[in-house]
Amino acid sequence: MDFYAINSLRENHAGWSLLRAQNAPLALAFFMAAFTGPNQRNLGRQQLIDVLDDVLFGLRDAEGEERFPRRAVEYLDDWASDERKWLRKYYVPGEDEPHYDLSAAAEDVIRWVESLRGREFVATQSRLTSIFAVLKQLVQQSETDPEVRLAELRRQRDGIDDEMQRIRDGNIRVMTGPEALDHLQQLTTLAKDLLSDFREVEQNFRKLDRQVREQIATWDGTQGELLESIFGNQQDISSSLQGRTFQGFWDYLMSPQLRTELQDLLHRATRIEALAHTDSLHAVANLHQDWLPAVEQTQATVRQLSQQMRRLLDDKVFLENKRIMQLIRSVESGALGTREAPPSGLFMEIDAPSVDVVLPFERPLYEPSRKVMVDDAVLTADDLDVDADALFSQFFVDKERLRGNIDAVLADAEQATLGDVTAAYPLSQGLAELVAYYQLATESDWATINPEQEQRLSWRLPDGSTREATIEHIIFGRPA
Amino acid sequence: MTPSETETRTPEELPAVVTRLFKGVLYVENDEKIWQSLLGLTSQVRDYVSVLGLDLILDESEGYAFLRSREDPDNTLPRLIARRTLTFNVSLLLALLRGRMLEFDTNSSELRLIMTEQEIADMVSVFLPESSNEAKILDRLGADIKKVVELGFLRKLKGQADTYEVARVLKAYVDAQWLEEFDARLADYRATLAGEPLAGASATEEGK
Repeated sequence: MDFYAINSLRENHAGWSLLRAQNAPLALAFFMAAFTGPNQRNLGRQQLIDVLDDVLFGLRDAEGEERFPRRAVEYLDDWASDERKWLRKYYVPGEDEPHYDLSAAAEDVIRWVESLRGREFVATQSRLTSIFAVLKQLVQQSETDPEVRLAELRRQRDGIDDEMQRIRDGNIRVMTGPEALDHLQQLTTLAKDLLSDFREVEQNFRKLDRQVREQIATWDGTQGELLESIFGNQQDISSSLQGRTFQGFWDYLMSPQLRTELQDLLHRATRIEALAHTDSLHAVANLHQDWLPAVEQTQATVRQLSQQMRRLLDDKVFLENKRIMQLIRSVESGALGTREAPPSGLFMEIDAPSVDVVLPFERPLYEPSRKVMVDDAVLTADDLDVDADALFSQFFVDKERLRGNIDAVLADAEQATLGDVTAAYPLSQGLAELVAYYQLATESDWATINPEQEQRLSWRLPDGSTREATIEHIIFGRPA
Repeated sequence: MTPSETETRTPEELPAVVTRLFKGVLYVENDEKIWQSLLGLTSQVRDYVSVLGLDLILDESEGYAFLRSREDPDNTLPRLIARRTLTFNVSLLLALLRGRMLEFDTNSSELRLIMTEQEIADMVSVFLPESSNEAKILDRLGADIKKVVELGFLRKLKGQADTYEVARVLKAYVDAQWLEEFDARLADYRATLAGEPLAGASATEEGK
């Protein structure tokens, strides 16, 4: 890579732009909390907003409100925008809420940032072992000379025989605690790498898909030539290098024998004594449960992309699309030409999506009112424990009686304040009665309520004490 | 159902499928169960609706199905499926949406075309007369969008203000034939416009 290639990455790569961003710590902390931490993908908008709100709330508490002034929604929209591309936003069938996933570039950045913190323990020995294992496999499996391969297998058999002999002699070598930890760490890293691979594979499929689409869109020749060029270049998604590698992995994971073996191994790993107190052991044991949905999703993406591609290449659609594009261009230029004087009235017709079936009997016709049977039989229930006092302490304010009181006072006067009325007919039901008077006043056309003035009314409780209420000045007038 | 009818062995799900199709476009994501029945009964449904002069349009990969009047050149049959009349603006909106969908399909791998009202307005505004009263134009656009929603080609998303999904079935209705007719009518209109110039209709000059 030369200076210019690196510079262009710095300018254009979504991951690098994330690292350079002003609010990178916020974005990364949020991405970790929502996606990589719990190993989740395909999150709904609301769920993401909730997580981001949590993150923001904590930060604002510590850093002050003005540090992150925008709302969670705005951050989210910004990060999913075309300029940023840290999140991929899409709509899944059957749901109106947009969904989001981390882009592969953003995930790379997260992993890099995480690696900066450094490991408490460097997995050197196990790394060396796996380098040896991979190297051996590479050399041996690429060997075409049968003699060399047989010799190698013989050497391995001798090694196994020696080992068995040692064990029979009672010389068993058990992995030490640090060694076991070292291997576990290696395992965790590998498993996480695998998960992030899936995301990248999916992204690469999308890239591939876009390339093919571009090719289709700009294709001038016949459809046959187009197909030839696409299949000739092996750009069809499932036959691409990506596709075949991925399919290989899928087959591997789907093999019942291998899955049982994997589960068995994981199960036995959880019982290793040297590792009993490590948290990550549990995570590793469950990792294969995270793989399956991740692989399935990638698989579904590939299937969907392939299907759409096939549809796009379908000859009828291919020809019709070209024709439709021409027609729409023509309509557009026609519409521009008549922009200042567009056709008025009805212009085109289109078929309704439904068949006109008028159902006259669906309309409600006259229906004689039905007699409602009221079952008034009261079932005797065991109510000894129920305190019935609450029921009987309720009382009813008879508004007609109050109205009668007002009328009686008004019989002798043109108008009367509420004080006059209660003076003539003392309040017997306290505040409830007062409220009923108030209600009468608001409903009546002949009463005025003056909020500027107050009046005090009092009543006597059964125990002899006096209560007082201050309410707005109410005047009842005699109906004309 | 009378006993004699059941003896002709009408498949159990057929009535539900046919009546559902009568009511409007059937989408796989909305009616998974009916959709499955339809896939199993395609030929029966075709036979049944053909008696009424209707065709079943079934697009499995797009996931929709609906009924359409059979081509009837002599106009002998009364129309069972009504034709909705459209103003020029609504017709243009449909054509533009169709164009957008085509672009969307060729450029992206997403399944659902979602547009905000603002995006629709931006798409249409080029074709609207320049007017000082922008509010009026936006109001009219709002009415046009509502009409398209009524026709079932746009669907308002739940919980998201002013965001619409363009229904994929639009592809089947606004097809090459429909657009051809649109184009031809527009050309006719422009010809008449050029023949008898309106006062100050300088815009029609370029049409000649």
